[in-house]
Amino acid sequence: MHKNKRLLNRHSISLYTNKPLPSIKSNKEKKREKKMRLLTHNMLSSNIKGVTNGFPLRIQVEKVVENQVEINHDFLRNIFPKIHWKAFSDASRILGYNQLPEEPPEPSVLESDVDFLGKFHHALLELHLEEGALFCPETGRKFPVTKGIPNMLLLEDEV
Amino acid sequence: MSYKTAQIRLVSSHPEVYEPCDDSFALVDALLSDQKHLLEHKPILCMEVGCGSGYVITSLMLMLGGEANGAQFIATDMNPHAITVTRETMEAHGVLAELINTDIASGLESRLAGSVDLLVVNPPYVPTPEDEVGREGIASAWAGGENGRSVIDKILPVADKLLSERGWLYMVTLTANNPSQICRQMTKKGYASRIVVQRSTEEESLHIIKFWRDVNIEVDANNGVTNSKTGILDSVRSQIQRLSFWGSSDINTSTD
Repeated sequence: MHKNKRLLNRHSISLYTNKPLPSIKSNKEKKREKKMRLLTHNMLSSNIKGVTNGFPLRIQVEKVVENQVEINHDFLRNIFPKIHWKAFSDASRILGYNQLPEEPPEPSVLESDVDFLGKFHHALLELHLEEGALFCPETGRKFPVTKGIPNMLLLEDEV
Repeated sequence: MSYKTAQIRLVSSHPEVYEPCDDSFALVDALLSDQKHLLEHKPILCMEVGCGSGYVITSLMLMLGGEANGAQFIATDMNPHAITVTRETMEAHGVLAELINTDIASGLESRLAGSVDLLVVNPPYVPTPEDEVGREGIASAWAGGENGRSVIDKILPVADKLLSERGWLYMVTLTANNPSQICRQMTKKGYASRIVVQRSTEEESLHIIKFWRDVNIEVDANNGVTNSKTGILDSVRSQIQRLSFWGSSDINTSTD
């Protein structure tokens, strides 16, 4: 890692690949997926100094997109115990999806209830906040979500 | 997808984002050399702090089979350009992770406390004047303050908080960072450590160290005096001392 690293990097990359420098043309031609999934929302809380109850962040929606992805039962079963259910089901309603139960379901439904797994999968992974914001529930401080990326950076006096 | 790691030609770039370099390659090589153990370990929640170009997290996802294999991946960076570039790198390789623009794991610490099974960090480890630390843009990728330890010393307590009981941490360090002292510090928190890759480049001597919680290390209530029943601490310290004489060779220490 070097301060004058750009030059050095190019040197080392050519050593590794014998190929021209990184080209992402093929990537740029593709439509970019700009997404914040509800899974992300469920992991975030307000990090401002002095805030004691920073979870869940309130969601302000400007643009929601849906994007179908293949269902993966193992992933859903692994993630389910880590999800704060009420925050998750409330968030899904704010994004316009009303099919999730308000009360946390019994873990056994993950083994047997294909209908539930489909709804859980859809809300967790297919509903995306593309533009909008998250707000600290205690202070109302805004954390912007731009092109699907939440910005949780704080100002110096908030740390 | 048959590639084990991210392909350099598909890694996106930006003038303000650190491009994969020897340190990044050494970290990915460390993960590759431990790939069998990682696959057996089946981490559910995997995270990279300071993802930069996305080369490391993308390689990790390819190595472990990504979400398709049932694991969740999270990457953070305080540089917004790095987050964009990471997303492009991931897309080019057909993988997907949660991306958060934040400092270390700020905003994630409370919900993810005790649940991260695998944490990888290539910190800004270059010794610099203290006032270069935390600046915007690409400087945040290298500026490490005194002995290159300013940011590392902020990351370690966060790592301790995030890691699950079976959590593993892989971190890049430089000889100037005093890795044996870092290991001593982590032993006080109950972690055993091992050098996975030691590599001397033209400019730097890098150690990739793996940390994991070890029940055999007794941590007393004051978090002060520790007692390693197995003598792991001593072995790692002597490893580092021994290895630092080995000049330009590139070695992987035994995997078990």
